[in-house]
Amino acid sequence: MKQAGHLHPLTWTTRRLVEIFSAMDFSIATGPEIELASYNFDRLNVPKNHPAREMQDTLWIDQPDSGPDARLMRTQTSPVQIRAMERTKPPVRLIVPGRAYRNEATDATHAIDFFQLEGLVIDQSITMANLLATLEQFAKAFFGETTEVRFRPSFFPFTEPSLEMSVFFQGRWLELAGAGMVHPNVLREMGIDPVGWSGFAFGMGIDRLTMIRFGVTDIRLLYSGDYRLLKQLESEPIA
Amino acid sequence: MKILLSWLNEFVDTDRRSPEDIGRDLESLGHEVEGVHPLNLDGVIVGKVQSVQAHPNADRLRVAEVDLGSRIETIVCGAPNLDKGQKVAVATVGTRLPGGMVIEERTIRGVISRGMICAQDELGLGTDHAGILVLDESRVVGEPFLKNPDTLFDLAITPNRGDALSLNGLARDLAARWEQPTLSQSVDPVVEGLSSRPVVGSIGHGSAIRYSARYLEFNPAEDCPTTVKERLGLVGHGTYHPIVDLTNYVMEEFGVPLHAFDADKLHEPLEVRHARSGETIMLLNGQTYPLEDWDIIIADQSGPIALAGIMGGYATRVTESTARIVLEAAWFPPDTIRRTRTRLGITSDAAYRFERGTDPGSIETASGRFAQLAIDHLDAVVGPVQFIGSRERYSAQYIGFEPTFVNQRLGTDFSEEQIIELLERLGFCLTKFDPSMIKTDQDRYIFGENVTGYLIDSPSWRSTDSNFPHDFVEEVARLVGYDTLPRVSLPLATGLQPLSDHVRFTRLEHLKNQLSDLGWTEHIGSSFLSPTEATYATIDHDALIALANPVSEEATFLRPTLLVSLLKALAKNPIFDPLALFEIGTVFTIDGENTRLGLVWTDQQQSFPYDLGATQLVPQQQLNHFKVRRAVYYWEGPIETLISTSDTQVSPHRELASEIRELRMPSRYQPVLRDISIVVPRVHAPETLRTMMKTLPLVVDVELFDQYEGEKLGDNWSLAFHILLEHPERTLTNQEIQETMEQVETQLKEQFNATIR
Repeated sequence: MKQAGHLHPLTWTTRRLVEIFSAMDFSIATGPEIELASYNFDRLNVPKNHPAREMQDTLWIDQPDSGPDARLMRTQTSPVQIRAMERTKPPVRLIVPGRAYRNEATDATHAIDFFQLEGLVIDQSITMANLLATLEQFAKAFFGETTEVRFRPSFFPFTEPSLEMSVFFQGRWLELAGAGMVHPNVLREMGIDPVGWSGFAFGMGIDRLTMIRFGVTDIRLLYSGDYRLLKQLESEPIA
Repeated sequence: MKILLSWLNEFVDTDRRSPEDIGRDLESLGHEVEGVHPLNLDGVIVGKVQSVQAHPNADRLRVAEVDLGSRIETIVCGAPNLDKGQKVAVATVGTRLPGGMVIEERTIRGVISRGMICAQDELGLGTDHAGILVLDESRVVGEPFLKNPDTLFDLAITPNRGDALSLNGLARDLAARWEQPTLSQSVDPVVEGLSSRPVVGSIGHGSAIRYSARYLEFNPAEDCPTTVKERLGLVGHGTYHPIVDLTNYVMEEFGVPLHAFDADKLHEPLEVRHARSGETIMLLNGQTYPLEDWDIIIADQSGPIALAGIMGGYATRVTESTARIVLEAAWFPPDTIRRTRTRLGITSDAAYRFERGTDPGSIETASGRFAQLAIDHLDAVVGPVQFIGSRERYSAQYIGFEPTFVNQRLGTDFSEEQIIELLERLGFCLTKFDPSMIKTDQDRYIFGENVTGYLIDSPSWRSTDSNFPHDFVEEVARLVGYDTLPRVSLPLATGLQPLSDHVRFTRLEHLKNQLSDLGWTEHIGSSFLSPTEATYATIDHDALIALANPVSEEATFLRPTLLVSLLKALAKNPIFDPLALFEIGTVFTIDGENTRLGLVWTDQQQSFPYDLGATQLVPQQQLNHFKVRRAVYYWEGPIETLISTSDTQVSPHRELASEIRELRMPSRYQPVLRDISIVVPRVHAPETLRTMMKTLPLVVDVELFDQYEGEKLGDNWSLAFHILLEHPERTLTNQEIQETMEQVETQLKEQFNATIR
């Protein structure tokens, strides 16, 4: 009997996210995993003495103080937004799926490499109302039409206002996405005039969503290659 | 940061709001609530240790007789600091402690123990477990340890909100939300008894530093009252010395770190200045540090006496014999503090706050509060404040704010009056710009020719953060609550042109579909290699990109190949055969990074969606290193050539066979695979048999791999299953495997009339 193979749980989740955001007219941008400090920090409005720049949080290839071209493993997929805007002009609706890296103690919910999906919208009259609606639409599409969402203020150097979105799922509130209106400094770095244009950005962890969606209790299982896990996800037979 | 409800209530009237509601308000104002902990340690009472004796049967334990008021209990205790005469917190029999432990009468090495003498962490008050919590002598035997139920909030304050690192700051936010005033505090002590001020040399011209100092004399025999110590303990401070305790207390209240020098150890006049290269200082932690010329220090005539805003000096510290202090309350620029602190590798509560921006307008309030508390509790007399630095209202001003910008940004429709009212509630002052404000050429220069809108003065406590229109928008949004804001979907935008990245992604996913349709399973592994793995894969370490700060040996190098990742995955699955795995991932070489497809397979007959050209067998030595015990074929190549065919018929869309909610988590231990072949009447569907077998203990998965019928079988068919056996906590024994298979066979025979082949 011919057995079909199995796609990875992270692939299934990424595809679902791409499907949801494609329906809102987003398309994909990708970029390098080894980044330069200028793209990962400076041009995202992360100042030089920000704690995130210290050795502790970032995996560096070059020494952190060695200048804007110091190489590191990108800590989020946001630098791709800057790169994408070097290749195109607004209006844009982009999603960036990809691997990111953090210098963290690993445990059941933290790995040093993990997958993220970030989004960027820039247009002429984008408001926070658009951002909230987009995130709510995503949550309902992913978790179900009756899903409740909640927003609270937070802080990211590249957005202002900034927020965290939580989703009510299986009896608990889960914090799933950070987002905000793109900071005018970041727009300027992209060569975009913040007076005529505005935008929002968001980011979510694909690993986390995968673990929630499929009930995976330890992130390390996703990267272990354990066939007992992988074989449980099957595609519908092709018609 | 931890705060107590009872203490918060002294700064803003929380009325009858529940802790949960207050927590929700704090969160919606931007302060993440990590926990709301009710503190009502019922059953924990104050006891007095009457006697302590060695335990007859255990070296490290002792037996205490503890007076609980209504009775004396024998309690076995292992703490090194237990001593006769101490007042201690005793969890009596029946008490349920915050960690979940329930206290029962227990016989410990032959001695009956009724109760537990608690450490700080056992009471849920902190992390200290070095010894038992010793209470203040003034506590009354028999009274409840916690006199009033209270609630502890554990908050995570964002780095841009230094103003929220205090009860006063959080109360201000809540008061703005609840449209109430904050409660006033006693911060204006009567200054008498000491008329002089400490002599402090003026700070260099143009410096932003603000510095205040005052003399204070107190009775060293006095101590802080229990409420002060209890509160400090509950929010995570130790208690050290009444003066130091009060500085921490005021810091928690007003967010201004204070420092006390022993006045009799000073050689005045003092100076607030930059260090000179070559100077050193020994700090309170006993260590000596070299200083550089941009470090800010407090110095006296003998040299540096404190590292400003970070830590006080050892020589001038307060001790048990101190009776006279100089109290410092100051503001230091955040950037300088951060720079000095990180260079020297020091952490302190004071530096934490100064780095995030304290309130330059609260210096004298904090000094006054300290003085008042010292007068109330330590029998103190206080002198007037010597203030150096600018006394100007420290504010940042924005000129030309249009309230409509808020609506433009948020998608709201507040009126101008509403926006002004909201901002004013948070301490911002708005003045409508008016041409008569331009009086001089300088005004003309500052204001420009065409200024309209408002002048906004940000309050001193937001001076480092909120200065521009986008910041004011966030202030309005958080005050009304993000959940009250409108939500408006993005309009359709079908005309947007995707980047080439999008097509590439789609083709990559199509490739994955093609592979999985032919039996390949997708693996995703780590981007990193350890030095050992690189050696095993015969990769020259010098050709690899290394991390400058690897977090562990496993993640030293970036992988230049997918082979290691795939071999490790194969090694994880010895019982599944045949196995065909693929990985599409990034590899890194000194020439750059690129995306590759890697394939490993065990069955020579395995098919591929296209011609691979040459494939290879993995060398035996590598298989041995990676613990793979079968022959493995391998191919790896760049993605670009595989997906470059202009195939416009890509259909990447696949649905999951079912929207699974809970995958079965595999055991950490190796499973065992057994096959079974049976002949069974065709009236029984394979799925029914499969379902039955899965109910048997240790059977975690059953897979049909062969099925046929024919004339020779009559009304039966022949079915073959793989049965996966697994134990959640250990490897299976041969006996267990055998017994399980026997049970499978028995059930198949009895329930379905099967014949085992």
